[in-house]
Amino acid sequence: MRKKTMNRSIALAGMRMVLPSMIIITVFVLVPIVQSLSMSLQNWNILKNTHFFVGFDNFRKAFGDERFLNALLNTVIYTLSYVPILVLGSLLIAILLNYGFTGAGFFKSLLFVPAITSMAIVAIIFRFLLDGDIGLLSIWLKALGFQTKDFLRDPDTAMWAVVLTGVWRWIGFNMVIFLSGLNAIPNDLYEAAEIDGAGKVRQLFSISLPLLMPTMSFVLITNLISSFQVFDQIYVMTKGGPLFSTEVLVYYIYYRGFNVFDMGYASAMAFILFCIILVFTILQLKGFRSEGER
Amino acid sequence: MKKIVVVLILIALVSAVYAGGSTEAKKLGKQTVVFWNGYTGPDRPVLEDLVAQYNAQSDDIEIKMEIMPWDTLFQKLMPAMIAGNAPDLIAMSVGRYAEYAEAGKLASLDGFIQNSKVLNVKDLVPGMIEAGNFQGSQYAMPMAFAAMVMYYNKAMFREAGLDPENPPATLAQLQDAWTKLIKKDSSGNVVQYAQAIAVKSTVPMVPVFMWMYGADYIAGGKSVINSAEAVQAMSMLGDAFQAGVSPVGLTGQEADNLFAAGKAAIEFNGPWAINGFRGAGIDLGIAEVPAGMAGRRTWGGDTILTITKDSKVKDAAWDFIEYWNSPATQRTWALNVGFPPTRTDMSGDVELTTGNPDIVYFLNSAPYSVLFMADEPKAGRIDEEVLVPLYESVTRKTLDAATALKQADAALSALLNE
Repeated sequence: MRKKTMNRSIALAGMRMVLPSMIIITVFVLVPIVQSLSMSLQNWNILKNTHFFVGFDNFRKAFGDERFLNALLNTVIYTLSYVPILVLGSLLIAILLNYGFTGAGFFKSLLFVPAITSMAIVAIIFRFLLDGDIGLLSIWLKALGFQTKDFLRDPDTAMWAVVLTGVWRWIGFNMVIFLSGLNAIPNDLYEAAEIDGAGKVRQLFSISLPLLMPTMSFVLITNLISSFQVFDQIYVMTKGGPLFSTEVLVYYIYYRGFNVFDMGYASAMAFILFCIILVFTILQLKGFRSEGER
Repeated sequence: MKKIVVVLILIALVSAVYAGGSTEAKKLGKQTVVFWNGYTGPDRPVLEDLVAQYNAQSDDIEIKMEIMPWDTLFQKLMPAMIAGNAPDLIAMSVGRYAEYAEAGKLASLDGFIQNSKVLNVKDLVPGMIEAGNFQGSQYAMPMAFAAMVMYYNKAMFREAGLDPENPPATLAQLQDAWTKLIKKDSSGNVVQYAQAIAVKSTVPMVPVFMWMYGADYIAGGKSVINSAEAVQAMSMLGDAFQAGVSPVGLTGQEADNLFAAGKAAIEFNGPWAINGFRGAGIDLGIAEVPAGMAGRRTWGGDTILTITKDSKVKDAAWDFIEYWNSPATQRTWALNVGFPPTRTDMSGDVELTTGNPDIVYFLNSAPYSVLFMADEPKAGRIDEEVLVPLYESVTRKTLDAATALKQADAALSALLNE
């Protein structure tokens, strides 16, 4: 009886502690999600404040809308190029810095600087740097005798320009996460491997990388989600152009919601994006879990 | 109990601090008019001075101005209107007000105009008044009028063997100048463009070329974009871009940067650009936009003032509109900012023309200036969804002019019928 009372009081204390967070999450996350789902089932012009129920029409409209499909494809292209470059790049840098050569600390700080800079500022700087006529990068490349392009004004290169801007911004942040994962691996394992005659490369593939999988899982999932939600640098650098070549889903959702005021359709597209991210995250989590069980 | 008393005292103190600013005007017996605008540039101090003068001379009205970038203004405006916190008076681009008027968010100004003792709309730029009339009712009054003129780099003209004192006056002369002004390196890359022609996020530069050929976009609520004249105009532009007259895909800001950096010899733009170009050290020439085979037409427009429907101080907001469009205010504005006045009865104002010689070009351009899609509620969407893709595909030659215009016509008709 006494134990039951104690458990109850512990549970109540726990509930009191999480209550503020739960209230905030309910008001600012759960309620808007439910409201957004309700909006997605209506034709809702937010400026005129007129709305009526249309069922799944907005969802059907999305899959017949060329611009939505193009934005979906661009989002997938962005994700498939951004995530591998970012994850492999930051992993490689983390491994190199983990060897602790002279000046490694300085490089760590230097690489982390973009992560504390606003994405809008980074995007403005890159927009100027990449300008084909007056951009510093183009001037340097021309001085070295290379043919240059208007990176952001060419539909063939604009996506790469925004991908690389995103990578530059986040590579230092991911590197720090990988470094903390590498530091958490016990030294005994490396010492034992060395006694067994394993070289640095063997140690990397047989100890570091397998034990880094939980960190890798976290990095992959967070970057995948953020890449599906990419907006800032697209908005500042290209506004989805040229010729819709960098228009991604979140930018198109923003356009329909806040420029056309068609909030019902924008909410429906946001829900489709939510489902896509959910499916990818579940698949990834399952993949890493089965990898861990093996 | 003690804690509750402390919390109540804190709430009272915070409320007093926040209430302090808004009650200041009330204490003085003044009505407060909240005025949102996006004059963040070099024109800001002039506007602030004019508003301060108004506040000083007015016994019962206080203009509380909130200046923010135009993008931010439009991002804040919709939620503010929905939440019932909209400002009383808003300055916005002439092309943007119609969607808010259509949504019933703006007040009709017909009654104020009829009863006004100091402001006669017949004294204001007719195009701006016409553009501010939505479905038979006046919703917008002029704040700033601008016409697009031709800026050119005199040093580049001299270097190309052109007479900087006789800039191109016709499209044929302009095309001739283009061929002389383009410079290429040994690999064939353009190192100096003849003209910076922006196709997106810009004041309408391409429409000026369309009007030169007699082409138009919308007439009687229907698309007229796919005409023989439009095919001619867009074909000419497509060829010009391919020849290196201008880089493709420029935004207005990029075109300005290119001209200010001395990488392009000509740019069509409004009066706000003068100080920036001179500040960048450009040997600046100004002329009217060249005439086409269909005559001389240029873009005109800029900013209007609107009063929100839910405003409780509409009379006070109107009083400021009257002050703003008075000859004295317009003279100060024109002399310090370079915009021509919103009044047509000031063209003979000696103080104005001698005080700012640049203004002559804008005054001369006013009679043939065209307000582009000003009363069209879908103007923003038409630009983003129809016109920018049209200009981009033609100037990049991903489509020929006839096909691109056919597609644009279908898209424009669908959008207008939506």
